[in-house]
Amino acid sequence: MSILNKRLYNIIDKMADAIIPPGGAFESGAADVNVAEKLDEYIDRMDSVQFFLVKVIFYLFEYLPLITKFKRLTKMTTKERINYLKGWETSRFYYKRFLLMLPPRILIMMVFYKEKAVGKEIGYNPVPIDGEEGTNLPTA
Amino acid sequence: MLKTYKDITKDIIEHPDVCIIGSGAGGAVVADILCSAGVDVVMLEEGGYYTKDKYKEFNPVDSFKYLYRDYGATITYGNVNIIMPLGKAVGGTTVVNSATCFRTPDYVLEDWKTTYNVINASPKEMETYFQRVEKRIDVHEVTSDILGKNGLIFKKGADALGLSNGFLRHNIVGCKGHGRCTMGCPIDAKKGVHLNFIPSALKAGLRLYSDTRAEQLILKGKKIVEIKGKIINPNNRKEFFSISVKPKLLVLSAGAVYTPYLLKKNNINLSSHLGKHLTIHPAARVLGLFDELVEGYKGVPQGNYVDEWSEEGIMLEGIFTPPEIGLPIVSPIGYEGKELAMLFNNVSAFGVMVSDKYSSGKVLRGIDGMPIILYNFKDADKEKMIKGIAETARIYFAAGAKKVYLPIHGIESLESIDDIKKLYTHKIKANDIDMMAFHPLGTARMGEIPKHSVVNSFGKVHALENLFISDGSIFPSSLGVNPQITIMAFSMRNAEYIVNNKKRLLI
Repeated sequence: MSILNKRLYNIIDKMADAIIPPGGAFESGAADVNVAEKLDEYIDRMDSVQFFLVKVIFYLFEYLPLITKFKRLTKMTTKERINYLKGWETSRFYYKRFLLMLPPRILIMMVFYKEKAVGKEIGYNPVPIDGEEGTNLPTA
Repeated sequence: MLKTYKDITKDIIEHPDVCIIGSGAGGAVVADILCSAGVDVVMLEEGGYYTKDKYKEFNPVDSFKYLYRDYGATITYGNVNIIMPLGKAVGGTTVVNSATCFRTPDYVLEDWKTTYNVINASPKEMETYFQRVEKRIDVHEVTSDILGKNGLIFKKGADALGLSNGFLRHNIVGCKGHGRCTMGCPIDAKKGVHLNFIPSALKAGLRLYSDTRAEQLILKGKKIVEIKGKIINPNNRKEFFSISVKPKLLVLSAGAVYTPYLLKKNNINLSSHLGKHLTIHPAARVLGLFDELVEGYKGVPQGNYVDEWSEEGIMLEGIFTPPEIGLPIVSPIGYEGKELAMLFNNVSAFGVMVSDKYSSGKVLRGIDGMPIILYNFKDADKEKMIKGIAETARIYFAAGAKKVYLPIHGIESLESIDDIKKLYTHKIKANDIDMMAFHPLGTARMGEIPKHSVVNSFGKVHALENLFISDGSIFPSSLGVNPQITIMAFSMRNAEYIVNNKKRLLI
């Protein structure tokens, strides 16, 4: 069941495209893994306060650039978005870095790097878990 | 008997001898001791019940959704904000901790006696409890065959510098180095309390309700006479049945954040010390980049330590997480971040943990079911953190690192050992350091003098007749080491006190 609306999907996809752009050290970018859809599934157990704050942060990133860049985040080019978000990530103002930039970065990168195909691209090679039976507790 | 939300078909009413809130390191031990002594016990656990079959299905990222509060993003607020992941599941944080087992340092126990008037808890008196806990949860020293390259590389550097170091003791048996201790061990090698104390208590008659949130504590005079709660479907967060427990005695084991929060939410103000004196062991991660393959996610994530500066309150302990968890925390955005991702197999990570001797915080009532946690990181502890980070960098260069990445805004990386001096010449504020914390303690501290404590030396609340607290909130000062053995040992001792005095306490 979807809990994010279309506008948020667009904002998240565009932010993700800047946070993990295509090309560079490896080919895949956020656009290749439907980050917004994956994030929508992932945060479905969030409580109402946390969910509200996450939405507010994404909306802030969409509209705050109007003040200094005179355009919304989703209307920027990828390069412009990367530069804009980099400014937040390296800001000397602590709350810009921690409270505003860090949460979307962590959420977007988690759902991206969670993809098996992405793991393979970066050479992630974990110890395989073999199929053993679990030891269940006695239940009612 | 264990009932999850799926097993509940109507409202529940219980009249046990004892109700325990919380199934983690404290609550599980108390439950087992009491049930084994024939005491009738009901336990309420807000988190869900998961087995290793479920952990196998999880991607590590999913563990934050199912096994942690707030998706692992519980935060303290102050001069620096610190992410403090808290476990929420049957077994509590023992399901998701790094399995590290330290006894309470002797000097800490002695300080509790002399400074905080804690009785019958000398190193000699606690010895039997440490031994019994360590036997129950299978504590062994980590061996080099499962340590993994991450730990071995750091050991090489520490040995080269002649620093005191060793392998950690863990509650793990049959580890195969999956590196997922903090995400639920997929083969039950890590012996959290859900694999020993809880099954034992269930066999002895414990009635455990998971997915059950205790909300109201009804006070009548000096006794808590009822606990009301809700059964919650975790998939949609809907509350669909209620539970009422009317025990003779209540044991709170919800942890140093949620124990005081539950009391404050219900306006049960036991003491001016309730919710205060929070210590958390702030920690920071340093990465070393090597030419050789490290694959730090293979092996025990936290397998060895350097205790050269432990008397100063600085411990270095290994920590490594899979890339889907590690990269979001350390990786910058954009193409630079992707370059670091491609180097992930060549990166080693080690953690600096400081004993917060000078810093402390408090737990406030908060809003809408969420406590507000305040914490200020004082300069004296910050200096220890900086020293710890500097020494970790030095060890990495001694081990052959070609670059070291730091968790410090403004000094993100070091190219050589000479660069370390930047840590002492640059002005570093507390909020320039990216930190996390994993050991909240101290918010209902113990002691024999009611004016200076919330509970007595055995966890009994001074102000009430039938309330005990048995979790990390009772420790009067920072331990400086991982706390699970201390929590279990004191809980064992407190539970035996209840059993030995049950004629008086369970009326």
